[in-house]
Order: sequence, then C-alpha cells, then structure tokens
Amino acid sequence: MVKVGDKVPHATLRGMGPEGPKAITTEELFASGKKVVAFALPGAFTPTCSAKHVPGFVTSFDKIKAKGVDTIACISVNDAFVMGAWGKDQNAGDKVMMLGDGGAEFTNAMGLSMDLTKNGMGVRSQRYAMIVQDGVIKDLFVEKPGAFEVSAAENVLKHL
Amino acid sequence: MPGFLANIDAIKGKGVDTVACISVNDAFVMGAWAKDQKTDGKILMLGDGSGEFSQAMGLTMDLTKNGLGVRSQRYAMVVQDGRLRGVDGRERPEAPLRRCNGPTQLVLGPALPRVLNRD
Repeated sequence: MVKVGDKVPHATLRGMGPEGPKAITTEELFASGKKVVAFALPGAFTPTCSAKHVPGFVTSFDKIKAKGVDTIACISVNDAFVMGAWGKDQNAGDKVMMLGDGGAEFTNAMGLSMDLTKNGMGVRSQRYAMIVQDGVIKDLFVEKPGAFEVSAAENVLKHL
Repeated sequence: MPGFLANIDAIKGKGVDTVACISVNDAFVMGAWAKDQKTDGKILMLGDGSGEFSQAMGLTMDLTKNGLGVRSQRYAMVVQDGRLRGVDGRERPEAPLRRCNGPTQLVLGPALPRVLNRD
C-alpha cells in the first residue's frame, strides 16, 4: 500500500466527456503545482457511497476549494459510463471529477484493492481519501472495512 | 435494451416466461440502469459483477486497456428448459456500444428469430 510521502503511482483513469470516455493519467490529474483531494470507494450507486461519501464532498466543495484545492476527484472501479451516470445522479457537476478505474489499474497500483468476487462485485477499491500536493501524497485516510469516518469530507477538511 | 423493452409484449406473446439482461456490473449499477431505462420490472436486470457467468459461458472479452476490465461480449440467447436453442451470428453495427471490439453474436431460437431480429 502507498504511504504518505509517496508519489501517486502511474495509471490511466477515465471520466465521461461530452463525446464519450476521456482518459486522464495520474500525472495529469496530480500534476506538479496542483493540490488535489481524491477519494475512492467500493462502487457507484452503492448505499454509503451515494448517501454520504459523494454528497459530503459535493456540499463541502466551496470550503475545500477555499483551502486552495484545485481539484476534487472521486475514483471507483467502475467504467466511465457508470461514473458519468452516477455523477449526474449525484449532481456532481463540475465540483467533483467522477473517474472510473474500470480495470482496477490505479487501485492495484495504490495497493488499496479488495476482493469482493464472492459478493458479485469483482475486485474493488477500499474506501479512502487522500490529499495530494505536486503528485505526492500528503495525507492518506484509509477506512477500516465497512467504516465511513476518516475519508469523509469533514475529516479531510480538518487536514487541509 | 430499448429494443427488448419495445418488443416485450411480442416476445412474451411467443410464450417467453422471462426476459433477462446480463452485464458485468454489480447489482447496484444494474438497478440504477433499470431505473434510467424505465424497465419497470419487465426485464430482469442481472449483474454478473465478478464475471463468473460470462466466463462460464465462454463469452468474455478483455477491455482492460479501455478501462473497462473483463466484460461480456454482446449476445442474446433463447433458453428452453435450461438449454440453449439455436445459434445464429449477425453483425449489429447500429448497437450503441460499437466501441466494443469483441465479435457480436446473436443466439436465436427457431421460434423467435423474427421478433429478435427487429432489435
């Protein structure tokens, strides 16, 4: 698993653009000179993620931005089509970038996957949030299985 | 999907008990998609989130490079008493996911080809 002080590993993520899935590398997303808050979760449209995790970041958008954050990104092992539809459903708009890691390339590179094959969900991401400055992880908040505390927008805000 | 929804009465009229849609997505995504497509319970929306069914069918395709992981090929089948009925491959260039690289296969039973071909 990555730790504080590590560079975010290389991977390609995909968001939904006006003309279909649009690729973005981690080098672009976590570029030098940028402060980024990223949070990851087990799946789009799942109860905790839809009811709490994403709405928390959408409603805290102004406060987070006021701390000098350039980008807020939500990452899940879903494809860009699902992330696009979920973003609409959650009214993420331009506030939270909804990025799919459909092949789990990013999640595996971070060392933060979990195997939910027996639950019919394949390999997914653990729930976590991180603050990244100049491509380097400054804070990392990984939840214990099933928990939703440290990766919430309120807690991330305290560390910005 | 809209093709099967629009033809649901005609398909049921041929004595079909269940129309099911299967995709390598989880049940949460399939449920949200059902709402979006207004399937209204007419089509059983089933997630094969770990690809177990698609792999057992031998009908997966690897879209990892496209950020989609291992997915199902596009196909349809008619199943009677648990057994597949008839096979007929046909290209469907109008299919919305035409970015998919895998071969397009339509598996049809003798009783239904006309109805299913309209899709």
